[in-house]
Amino acid sequence: MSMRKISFKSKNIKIIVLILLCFASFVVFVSTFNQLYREGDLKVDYDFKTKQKHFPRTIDIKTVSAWMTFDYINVIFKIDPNYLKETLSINDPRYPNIRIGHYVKRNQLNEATFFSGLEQAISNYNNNK
Amino acid sequence: MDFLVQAIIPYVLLYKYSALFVITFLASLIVPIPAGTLLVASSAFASQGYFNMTTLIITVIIANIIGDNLSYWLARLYGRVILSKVAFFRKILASKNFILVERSIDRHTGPFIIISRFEVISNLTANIICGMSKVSYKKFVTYEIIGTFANVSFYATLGYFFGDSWQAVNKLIGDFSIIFFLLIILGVSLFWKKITVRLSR
Repeated sequence: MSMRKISFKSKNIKIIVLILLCFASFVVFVSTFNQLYREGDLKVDYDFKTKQKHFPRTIDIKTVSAWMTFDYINVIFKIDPNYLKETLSINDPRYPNIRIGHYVKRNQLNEATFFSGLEQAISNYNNNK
Repeated sequence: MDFLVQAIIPYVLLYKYSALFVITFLASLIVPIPAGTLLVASSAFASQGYFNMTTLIITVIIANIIGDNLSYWLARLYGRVILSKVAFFRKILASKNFILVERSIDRHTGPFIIISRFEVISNLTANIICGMSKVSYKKFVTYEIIGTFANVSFYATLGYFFGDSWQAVNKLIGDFSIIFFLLIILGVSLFWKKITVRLSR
C-alpha cells in the first residue's frame, strides 16, 4: 500500500514539474515577445484591420551592417547601382557583389568612417530623388 | 544567431537562390545548419524586394525534399553497416530501447516525421532513423512532403510578415526551440519507464 502511495506521489510530482516548466517557458516566451515588441525590435508591417500590407519594405539606414552586400543595399534602398560606386570611389571589380565588411577589411579602411560615409550617401540619394 | 548572420547570410546575399539551395540541401542531408531561421531571414529579404518569394519557396522546398530523401536512402542502404562498425553504435542498435523506438516510429510515422521537420537536429535524426528502420518509402515520402510544406510555409510566412524584424523573430524562435527541445527530453526521461512498458505491449 505504502509503495503504491509513493509511486503515485512521484508520478504526480513528475506531472506537476512538467506542467510548471511548460507554464514557465510559455511565460518566458510571452514576456520576450512583449519586450521585443515594446522596444520596437519586433513589428508586423501588416494592418490586420484594413488588410493592407506595405510591401516591398525598406529598412532603416542605421541598420546597415558589415554582413550586407552593396547589391543588397542598392535593392532595398532603391539606389542606382553606379551611384555608390562613384560616390564612395569603389574600385573593386566584384562590386556590387561584395560584402561591405569584406570590402572595408580588404582595402584597410576605417570601418566607422566608411559606414558614416555610406549612410550619408544613402540619405543624400533618397533626399535628391 | 551571430553564426547565421556572419557566416551564412552573406553567402545567401551573394549567391542568392543557388546558395539557398545548397545550404538547405546540406541542412536536410547531414549538416546541422539552422535552415528554418535562414528561411525567416530570406523571406524577410523577399519582403524587401531582394528575392522573389515564389522562387524562394520553390527552391527551399525542392532542396529540402532532395536532401531528406537522399539522407533517408543513405541511412537505409548503408546506415546499419557503417554504424555497426563502431562498438558504441553497435550496442545502441542492438539495445531493447532502440527496438522500442523503431516500433514507436513505425506506429506513429506521420506525426514523427511532420513534427521533426521544424527542428534541424530532429529532422536529421528522423531521416536517419526512418532509413535505418526501413520505414516504408511511400509512407516516408508522403509525410516528408507534407512536413516540408508545413515547415516552409510557417517560416516563410513569419519572415515575410515580420520583414526587417527577422533578427528578433529568429531570437525568439531560437530561445523557444531550445526550451521546447529540453522539455521534450525531460518529459521522455521522466516517463521513460511508462513509455517503454506501453511500447513493449
